[in-house]
Amino acid sequence: MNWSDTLQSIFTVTLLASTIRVSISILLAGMGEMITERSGVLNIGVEGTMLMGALAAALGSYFTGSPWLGLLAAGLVGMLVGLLFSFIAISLRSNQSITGLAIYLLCVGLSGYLLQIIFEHGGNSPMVNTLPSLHMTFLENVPVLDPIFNDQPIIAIPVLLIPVFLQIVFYKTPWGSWLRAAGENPKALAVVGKNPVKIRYVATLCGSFLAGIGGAYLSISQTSLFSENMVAGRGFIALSAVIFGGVRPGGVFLACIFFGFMDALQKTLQTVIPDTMMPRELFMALPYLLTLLALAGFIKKSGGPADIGNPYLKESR
Amino acid sequence: MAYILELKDICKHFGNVLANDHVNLQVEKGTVHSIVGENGAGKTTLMNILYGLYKQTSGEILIDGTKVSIESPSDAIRLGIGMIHQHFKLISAMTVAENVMLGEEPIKGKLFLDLKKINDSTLELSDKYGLAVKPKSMVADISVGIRQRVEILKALYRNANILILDEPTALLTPQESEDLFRIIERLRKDGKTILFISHKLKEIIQISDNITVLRDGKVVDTVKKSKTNEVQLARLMIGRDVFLKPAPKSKKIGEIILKVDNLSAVNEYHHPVLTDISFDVRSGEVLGVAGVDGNGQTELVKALIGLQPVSKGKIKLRDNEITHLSVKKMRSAGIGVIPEDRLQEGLVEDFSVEENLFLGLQRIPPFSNGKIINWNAVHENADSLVKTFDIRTPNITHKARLLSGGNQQKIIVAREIFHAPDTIIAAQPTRGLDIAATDFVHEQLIKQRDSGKAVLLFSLSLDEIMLLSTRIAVIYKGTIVAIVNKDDVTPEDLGLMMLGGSYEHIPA
Repeated sequence: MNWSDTLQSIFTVTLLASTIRVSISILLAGMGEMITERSGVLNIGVEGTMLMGALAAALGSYFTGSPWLGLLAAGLVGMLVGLLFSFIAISLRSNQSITGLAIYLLCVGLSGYLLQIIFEHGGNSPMVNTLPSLHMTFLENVPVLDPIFNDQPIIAIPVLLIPVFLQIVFYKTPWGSWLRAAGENPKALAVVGKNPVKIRYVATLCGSFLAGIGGAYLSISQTSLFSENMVAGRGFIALSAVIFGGVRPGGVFLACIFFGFMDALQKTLQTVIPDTMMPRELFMALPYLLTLLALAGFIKKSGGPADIGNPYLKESR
Repeated sequence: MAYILELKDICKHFGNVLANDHVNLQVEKGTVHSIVGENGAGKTTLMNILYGLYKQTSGEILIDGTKVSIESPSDAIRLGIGMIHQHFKLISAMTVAENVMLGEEPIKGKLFLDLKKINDSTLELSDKYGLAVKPKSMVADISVGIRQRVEILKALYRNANILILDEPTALLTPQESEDLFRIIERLRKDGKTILFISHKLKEIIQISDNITVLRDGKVVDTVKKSKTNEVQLARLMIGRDVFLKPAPKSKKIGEIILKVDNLSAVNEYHHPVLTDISFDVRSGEVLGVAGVDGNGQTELVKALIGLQPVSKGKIKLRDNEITHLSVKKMRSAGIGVIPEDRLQEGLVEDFSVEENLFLGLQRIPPFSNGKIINWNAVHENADSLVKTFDIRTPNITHKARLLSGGNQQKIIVAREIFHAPDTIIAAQPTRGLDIAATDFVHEQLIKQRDSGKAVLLFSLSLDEIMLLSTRIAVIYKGTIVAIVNKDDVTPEDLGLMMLGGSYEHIPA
């Protein structure tokens, strides 16, 4: 086998196009979790929120015939899960990590159960209508850009713009300033008359909305059905990306794209390198392995919010 | 005359504890009104009620003669009350200007922060009151004194007419305190009313117009500055006469207990922090270590208890070398320590009083046979120490977190003093304590000295060093530059040596 041919067949523009496709769900969940974490709340239940979003999208699309209503349903169900989490973790001040874990487990069980009772068989939902892809005629003859950006899922371009939007919100608007304050020192915010609890709720609900949409992308865009556990760890990868990216829009964006790239790469490698040379399981483990390495090196230097994970209590002595 | 602020019969309960007991207070506009009292007298609680952080159990608040209800800090801000908290409420990851404007940011284009205006208005306000802050500095990068001015700016920006300063000098250097007093004077001239919370009598006399004394949650008296003095205030605060007086001379100085020989150490960046330190402490004496903060005191304490690796030299306790032993072995060799940062290193805040009173002694009889804890011994120990050391706690199973700072400190002092067989290392043992508690700790240290223990006292307060020491070692840039008998030096001599001056004319 010729190495330079092999490399050429791996690193193609198709790989970049594929990177975008697989990054979308991680990006949505990661951006959402970043908003949540900036406010001082650590929601490790993202994976579960995504799963419920994926199911809601498939159900919405199946029963109304409109994938757009499915998308909306996913966002709303995501917020519902986020509301449950917020009530327990913010209002009742339970340990955020344990609450997140419980929410994740609840969602895994609940999504499987709902699938079973609605369609009377487990495993997969029936096929549903999916979101269209976006064809931009003006890109048709542009080299490189055309194969990378054209005919991507319709939500890809807006999703790629979310980091820019959040950069502006975080650092150029009063609300962003309060959001960051809630995550750094909620008492400082309380003494100037803002309610950190409210801000943390809003941030968690926004984050959960995006996680729900991220799940929807899997069931009504990348595929056309819901299957049990179809999120397959993307929520946890998004969590790592948030830490890896220093809980900042630019950093988290790059981290999500990087993880997406690793995922796309392992898929390509599987087809190019024969199984006898390297077991495919190793490739599949690659993104997770890298996540682990990234966290080992980065978790302390990430410069995230100072008060993350701590419940806010008003009258304390 | 009409008062800008009036409190009528304010009561506040925390569970069974009555923190404020029918407090009445009248404050005149444009004055500096001090609220003084011991730790736990209810000063901070009262101010937190005024600022809407706590809600009073009963009683009324009047501003400019009108009854008001203060449910939250927003209400207080709206009524023109600003509070500068003892522990600053600032966001380190934001700039000075962002902190000043937080929650009330100027807006442009309906949605966006007007960053230029944020910086400009901060600068303008800072210049008006001579605060000299830089709007664009990150709060993480500025000194404690400047952070306090940022807090003052926050209040002024919100048009505060009544400024509450809660123990503002607790964390300041003397120079920073003087600067603060000048700022307070300027604010008063501008017509602002200042509520100044403190237990430091000297500064209260210096800056107040009127002084209200609280004790055990009650108002004892309100006096005019011109008609009182430190002695009278101390008596009002404590309810009896207290003067910090020099300890009686050591009765019997015995053999050498702790001996340090040419001790050197480096920090994590391999810079020398201790260089060739040698001294000894004898049974029945207090060796005071005087020095300006940051000259190696912290590292020396850590080296003596096994927390700071030693690169050279020896530490001997009686005839045993203990230089490289673990903390556990050093403790069981007979060293007790009252640590500098007592909340971090001396207590487990979520443990009960009785658990804290035998912390680190879990393997030692009578508390255990090395494996199983004898809780009866623990209870007995706690009962007796709580009584002896007058630790004010509802019961011995109360969490340490819920006690006042002074009482938390008494727990550590009680445990370390009582259980150290040979040597007590006291690092800043009275920092943050009020007069009565300071007096008490001093008494206890002297008692231990007279029972034949060796006491090594680290203090940044020259007064404290002079009051308690038998001999004094001066530490400068990580080395001991002189060891002198207390009777042979004046505080001025010591001050000179602490700054690296010569000591040749002083007989050792």
